Amino acid sequence: MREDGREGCSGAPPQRRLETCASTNSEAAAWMAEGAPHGASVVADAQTGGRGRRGRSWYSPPGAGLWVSVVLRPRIGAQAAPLLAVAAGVAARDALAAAGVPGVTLKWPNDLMLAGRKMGGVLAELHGRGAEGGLACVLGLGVNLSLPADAFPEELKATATSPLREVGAAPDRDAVLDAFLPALLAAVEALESDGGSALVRSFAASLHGLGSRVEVTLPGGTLRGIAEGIGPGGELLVRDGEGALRRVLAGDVRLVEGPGAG
Amino acid sequence: MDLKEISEILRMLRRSDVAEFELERGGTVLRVRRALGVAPGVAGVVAPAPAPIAPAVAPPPPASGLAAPTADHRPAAEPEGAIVTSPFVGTFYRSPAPDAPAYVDVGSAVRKGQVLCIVEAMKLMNEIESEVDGRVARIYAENAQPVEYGAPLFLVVPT
Repeated sequence: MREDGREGCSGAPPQRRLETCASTNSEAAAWMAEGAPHGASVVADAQTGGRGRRGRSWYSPPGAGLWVSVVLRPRIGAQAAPLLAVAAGVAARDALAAAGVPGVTLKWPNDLMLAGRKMGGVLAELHGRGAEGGLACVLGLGVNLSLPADAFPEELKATATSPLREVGAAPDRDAVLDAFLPALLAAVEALESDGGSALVRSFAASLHGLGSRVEVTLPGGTLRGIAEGIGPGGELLVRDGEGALRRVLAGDVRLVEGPGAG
Repeated sequence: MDLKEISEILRMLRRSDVAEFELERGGTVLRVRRALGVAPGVAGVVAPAPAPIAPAVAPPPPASGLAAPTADHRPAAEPEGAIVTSPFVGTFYRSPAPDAPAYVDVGSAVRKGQVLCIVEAMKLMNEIESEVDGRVARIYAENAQPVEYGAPLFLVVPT
């Protein structure tokens, strides 16, 4: 009965390339429900309804970036599933470096930062509970590549960026994609084999704002403190005003001072 | 599931108003029923073959594999049903976006596979689905609040 989509697969996983769609995550989720295998991906030149966390929209105009969603069927327990979102951030950082964009840092949990501004983000959607049917996850990545400075909407100008804006040149989208997909599958394999310790180390090595003062918007209020590192489950460790170390698993993090604040 | 985890679950239940709790992990089922106002007791631990390390805190499970009847201790107010628990430590959301209506309310009829809520950790959003056709009888967690691994979220009474 178990169909984890990883039996007998050889060669590269299948890929669907679209000119435009509402959201690559929605396309990939529909494909996953039809049985798309581990590693199957959906790439679009433009999204008309790109999504972020909690119903926020993601600006993804034609040809300006990489908008891709990947179906994952990881052999891990549900408790480790949040590390899949870390795997995506680490893989994207490494893919960008391979495609000629070094110096990308990761703002917890998985925003891709360049020169202190956000150039990309991850939205992961998990289905299934891991008990009988296995876990199935759609991992969406959106990265601005060739969006010029004057093309950013007014409300994003101060906080968002692209390699074109920062260094005057954009990497080839397909070069980033071709590096990202195997890097992501390798990161998932690493997670499966060691429970995520190598992944967390790799994440911590390029954590944006390490040692800086941060404000974390939490359900019950705001946590202010110093970002001290990453815990074994990928959680952000924040030393609060009373000296207690707090573990943050969900919330919006803002740097208030220190390297790269803004 | 080891003794430490079970004692943690019992401690968590003692602080809650949950009358019935079921957790399945690695083929081991922990089922707790209690009368509210008294300390929880383990009503039955069922370990189907091949048996993992079965917790030894309960009397041997009945041959039928069902929990020992505890109807006498269950308050009439708490209906029989499936407890939906949190898959990991995260934040519980009752709607897909802050300005969107809740997926379900107490009293909502739900189908198997229907989304009940989202639990988020580190931008991984897990849509939690009902495992039965039924009716939502209880919602144990508060919207946008942290939930622990295994924390009860909903009671769904099968129809």
